[in-house]
This record gives sequence, structure tokens and C-alpha cells, in this order.
Amino acid sequence: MKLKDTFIIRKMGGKCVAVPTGRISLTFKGMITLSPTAEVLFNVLKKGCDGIDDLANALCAEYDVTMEKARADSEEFVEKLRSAGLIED
Amino acid sequence: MSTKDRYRIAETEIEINSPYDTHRKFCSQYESSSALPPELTINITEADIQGEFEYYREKPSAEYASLSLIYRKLCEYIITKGGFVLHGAVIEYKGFAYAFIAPSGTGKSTHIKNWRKLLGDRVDIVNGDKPIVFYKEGKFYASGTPWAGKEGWQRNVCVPFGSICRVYRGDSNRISEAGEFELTEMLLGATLMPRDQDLLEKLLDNIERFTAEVPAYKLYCTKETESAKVSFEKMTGDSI
Repeated sequence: MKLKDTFIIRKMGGKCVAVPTGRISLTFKGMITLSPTAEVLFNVLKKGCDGIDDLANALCAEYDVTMEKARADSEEFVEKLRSAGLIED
Repeated sequence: MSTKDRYRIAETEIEINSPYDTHRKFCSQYESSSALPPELTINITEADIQGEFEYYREKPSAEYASLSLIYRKLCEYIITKGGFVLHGAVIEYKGFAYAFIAPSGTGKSTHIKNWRKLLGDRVDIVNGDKPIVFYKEGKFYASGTPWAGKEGWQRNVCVPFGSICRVYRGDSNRISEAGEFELTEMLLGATLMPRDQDLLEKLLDNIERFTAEVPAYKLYCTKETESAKVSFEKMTGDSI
């Protein structure tokens, strides 16, 4: 599971954002604002991972959160990106 | 037949080499007789044009694709110089540029017409569709370009920026300040994003600098002439 395209992740106007590059930018205009949690997940997806558990583990490594909560948050995040056409399996 | 032509747009000396000559009439207001070597040489080949077709759902004419490519290459060069292209309308008042950005059909042109109705010859158009923003000696400027929309509103001028405003359709007229992050989102929706990652990084740097230096507003407005009074007074600080 990974992001369908390359993104530049950086601070703009005081927030962390992800801006698509390459072909996806033809259909996906603008940028995604990333909360600190989203930033962790986005960086994992940028490199690619085997599944939700990898994402959940990354959250658990950063934050004091249960695996159950981390999995739920990861699934929700992946779903949002998937419905925006940004995930490839 | 290949043509070589010289133009000056956004204070950039350009030479265009293309198998099509559509740019000659299109860029006629920007012809340059400079004897100096061009700062930017835009070479368009048939292979480039074929490559350009894949970015369109409906294949345009080769002449259109040639102009589109010229625009994109100019845009990419402007990014390296600290600027970017803008999808918006720009009007000049007392030597400063006031830009209005919005998706097509929102009412930018109507709003500009309202400024002209209200202010007459105190204002003059800079560009009606795709001006260029560039950075020089610590200031941002708006420049007229041949990409001037269906009204053809353009002047071969470069004017320092006063402020920028995102236009929304509204039932009444109201204007408020837009924050830096809001302006960032507005600009990313109103500019041409380069395909090269390094250039995109540079564009984001340029936008970041622009949002820090140029006042920004968001305007909800009607089609009526009086909507111009609301934006004019807020953006320029003058009264009608």
C-alpha cells in the first residue's frame, strides 16, 4: 500500500501540507493539510507499507496510543486518501 | 515553416522557435526589437506538440497546443525567477496592481467591469485572464501577457502589487482579510503547477514569499456595480 504519486511535504503558511507532483496533479488540484498524526501516516505511505498494521505501529511509536485506536485512525485516514484516488495497493 | 521571433513579456526577453506561427499575431503587442541575446529561448518541436496532446481529454489543434506549450515553458522559467503565473484578472489603480482570482465563471470579469464603471479612467486593465507575477528587487509585480481571455484585456505593462482578492459569488457584498494559509490555498488553485519536482518546490517557495508580503482578501459579491465600491475601498484604502 502506498501513495499513488509523489508528494512534496513541507510547511506552508504555518501548517504542514502535502502537494502532489506528477500526473496526479492533473486531476487533484491544490494541497492536503496534514495534522501531526496525518504527517506520520503520510510519510509511511510515501515509502510504502504492507498494510494498516505498519501504519498503526508508526502511530504507536510516536504517540501514547493503543494499537486498537491507532489501527482505527489509520484505517480512517487510508479510506479518506483512497476515496480521493491517492492510494495504490 | 519555422519562425524565430522576439518578445518581451514580464521583463523577460524571449525568443520563440516553433513550426507554427500562431504566436506571431497572438504576441504582437509584446514584440521586441532588442539586439541583446534572449534571456529565454522557447523551442517547440513537433514531438513536443505530440507529447502535449496526451494532457488533453479532447485533442486540440496543433496551433493551440503550440501556444499552450509556449505558455507552460514561460511559466516554468518565471518560477525560476521567483514568480508564477496566475489565473485571474488584474487592474491598475494609482500605479498599483489589484488582482482578482477565482475559477472561470465565478465573476472576475464582471467585477473588473464594475471597477471600470465606478472609476472610469482612474483604472486600467493589466490582464484579464493569465497575468504573470514576478519578483524583482524586493517587490512583486503583475505583468500583462498575451493570454488575455475572451475579452482580450491586456496591456504590455508591469505594475507593482497592491493586493490580491479571491472572489466568491454572494447575495450581498462583503470583504474580509484572508490569512497567509488561506491565500496559499487560493494561489495553488489559481496557478500552473509544474511537473518537475524541483520546480514545484521553487513555486511553493515563491508562493510562500508572496503570501508573506502581499495583502490578501476574500470577497463575496453580487454582479452589481456597487460591489466594486466594497472591494475598492478595502483593497486600496481610498474612498470613492
